[in-house]
Amino acid sequence: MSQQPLLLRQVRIFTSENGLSEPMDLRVAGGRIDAIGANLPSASGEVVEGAGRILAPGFVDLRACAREPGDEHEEDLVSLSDAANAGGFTAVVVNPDTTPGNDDHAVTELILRRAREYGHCDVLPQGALSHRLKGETLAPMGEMSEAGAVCFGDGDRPMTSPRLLRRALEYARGFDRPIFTHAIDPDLAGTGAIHEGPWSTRLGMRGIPAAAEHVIVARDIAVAQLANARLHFARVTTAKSVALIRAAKAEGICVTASVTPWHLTLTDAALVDYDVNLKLVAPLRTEADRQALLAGLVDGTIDAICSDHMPVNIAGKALEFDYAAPGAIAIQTTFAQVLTRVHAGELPLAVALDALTTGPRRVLHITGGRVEPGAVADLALLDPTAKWTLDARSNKSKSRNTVLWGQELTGRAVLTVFRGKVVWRA
Amino acid sequence: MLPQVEPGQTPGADSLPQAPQEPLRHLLGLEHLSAEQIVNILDLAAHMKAVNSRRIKKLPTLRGVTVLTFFVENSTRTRMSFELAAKRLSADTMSFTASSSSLAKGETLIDTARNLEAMGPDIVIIRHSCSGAPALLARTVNCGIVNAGDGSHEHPTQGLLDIFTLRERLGDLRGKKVAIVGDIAHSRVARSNIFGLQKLGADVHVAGPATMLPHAIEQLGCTAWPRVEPAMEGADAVMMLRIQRERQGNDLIPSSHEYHRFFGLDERRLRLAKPGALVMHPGPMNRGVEIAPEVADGDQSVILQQVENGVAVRMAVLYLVAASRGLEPQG
Repeated sequence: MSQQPLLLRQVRIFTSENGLSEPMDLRVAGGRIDAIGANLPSASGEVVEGAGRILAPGFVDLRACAREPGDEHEEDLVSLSDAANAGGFTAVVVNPDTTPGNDDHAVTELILRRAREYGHCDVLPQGALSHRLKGETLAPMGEMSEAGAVCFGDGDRPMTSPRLLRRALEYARGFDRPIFTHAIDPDLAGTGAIHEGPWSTRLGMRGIPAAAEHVIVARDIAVAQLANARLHFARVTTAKSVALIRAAKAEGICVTASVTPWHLTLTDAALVDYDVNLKLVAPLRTEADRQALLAGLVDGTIDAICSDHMPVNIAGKALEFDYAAPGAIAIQTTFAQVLTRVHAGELPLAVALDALTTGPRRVLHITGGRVEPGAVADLALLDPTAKWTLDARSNKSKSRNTVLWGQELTGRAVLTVFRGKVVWRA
Repeated sequence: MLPQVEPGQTPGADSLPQAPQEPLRHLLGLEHLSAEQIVNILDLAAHMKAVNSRRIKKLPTLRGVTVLTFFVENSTRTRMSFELAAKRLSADTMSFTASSSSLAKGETLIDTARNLEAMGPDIVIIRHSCSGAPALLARTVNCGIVNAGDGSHEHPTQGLLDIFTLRERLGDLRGKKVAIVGDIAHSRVARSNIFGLQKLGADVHVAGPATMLPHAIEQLGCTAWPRVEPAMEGADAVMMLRIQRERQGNDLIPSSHEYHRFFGLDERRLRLAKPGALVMHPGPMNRGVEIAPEVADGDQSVILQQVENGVAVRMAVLYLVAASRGLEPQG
């Protein structure tokens, strides 16, 4: 690692405790934040002018698919690290639904070794909750925790057994790991592809009713209370889910939640052209749901914004909507997507930044993300007004499945620092 | 420019009415057509129908134009109707049929479409079991796309031929009550009729067991009933939809027997409608399920006229799509 000192001049520092600071200088040396203050001497090393820019702790993503091992033609841990860095992220939780799945410490170790060899990003493996992700028997969560898994869940697979969920929650408690769940009742969702509502009726699409999500949110809250353990709803989409989680938190039940940038910015009306890049595992809902998700972020019901980055090869998307693979790449655009809501006056900047930095760390019970002398230097220098376009030149992912392809976006990370090293610069 | 035709005049190859102001680049659905565009198609179809009653049922209009029927879902009669329409306009036709599942396993729809496009068709008529497939095709290839039915979305030429048949019998459709009965949720025929009929001012009522009424169907402007009787009452026309065999005995209806008892059109229920109300069905019929044989064959039935009108309507659509693409129809 090149450990040349780095001086960031006249940046406004964001922390969840203090919000945005007045412009000041911050120096990085030896992988750590070395000094913060007015007019620090530049001495040797690089100097970056930061006027008009925000320095935040590196973003933490609670949900992304690395596609490694198994589908490296769509993404791998190197390309994901690069895309993450370009999006301002320095830590990413990767899903266990790879090929093979991450249901064993050997796979966890493989993922971590590959990520550390590259060393641009903390890759945080989500271990499978069940053996082969089949939802039948518990996976060896102890060994995977030891190997470095930070949480457990079966990725996008619905938890059909509340009994197994209970046991997983209880077992994981001993290792201080939360259980991540994708809340959907597969029976009620049926073969639906988009939200069930006026748009599914107009477009002649089979719908996924909102109730298919919140019946499971309600069930799982009860199970989390029974198990007295930490449960994380990996991507909530409905107003009713937000209300249920809000009430559960008020009761002291250990539940947390995250939301994707798609659900904060779009509704099912965006499906008017049957764009397969808007076919998501958790469907776009209504405007009322979108508003409720924003309100949930503001009042702390929703803890984090996750990119839900899902790279899909062109062959998986050049298909009819019904047959296309779900998901969209987003780790590089999440900040810009969220900023549209900040610029629209729907979301305070401090709430958005908290949900990208401290919120996800809170969910995982991990330290880091402090901006003070002596702290590890995982940082994102953000320009909230920079214009850029996601295209073949700027895209770091191996896939390009996003409706934002080719569109001009506002706001990006202009410099990302991981362990004191500049890993991305716009 | 083509000369206007006076009503009653026998149209020939040299006397087709003017192309509409808004060109019909594709026909993906009736939702996005204006009332004027719909009327324009129907007026042209009336001329085409006159051609179809002549001894030599052929116009040279689309000579040199290639029309491809691309059917990724079985439908012999819709394909025949389109092919006949194309041939009566002297177009060259070719057909491609596949099951959507085999297509999904191998080539993507986009790859297949590009391969077919390389053979140079001017107009592609697509039938597909997935909603939105024609829209995908229209974005992908540089041909006129005519939707011959996509999933549960739209079947615009069926809607047009239904509306044509209604106008032929009822005249102006403003204020006319049309009941559509059956599996509205899964019916592309229902959606095209709901969109098209309302644009022409008809009062559309849909009915069926609530399991077959899609969420918020009223937001499309129609009135929805979980029983058939209120929809039938005073109706000027009743459109019965085919009950798909695979829907019987699953979670939508208990049995075809029960469906017939509560939702089928028999003589007793038909008496709730206006005297002489039209009985329609897009075919193929399940006699004894959604419609009693004596009603299907009765005096009020216009089911076979619908089939006849289908050819004329499809001729009009092919003509207008070709014209909009500067294919220089032989005037």
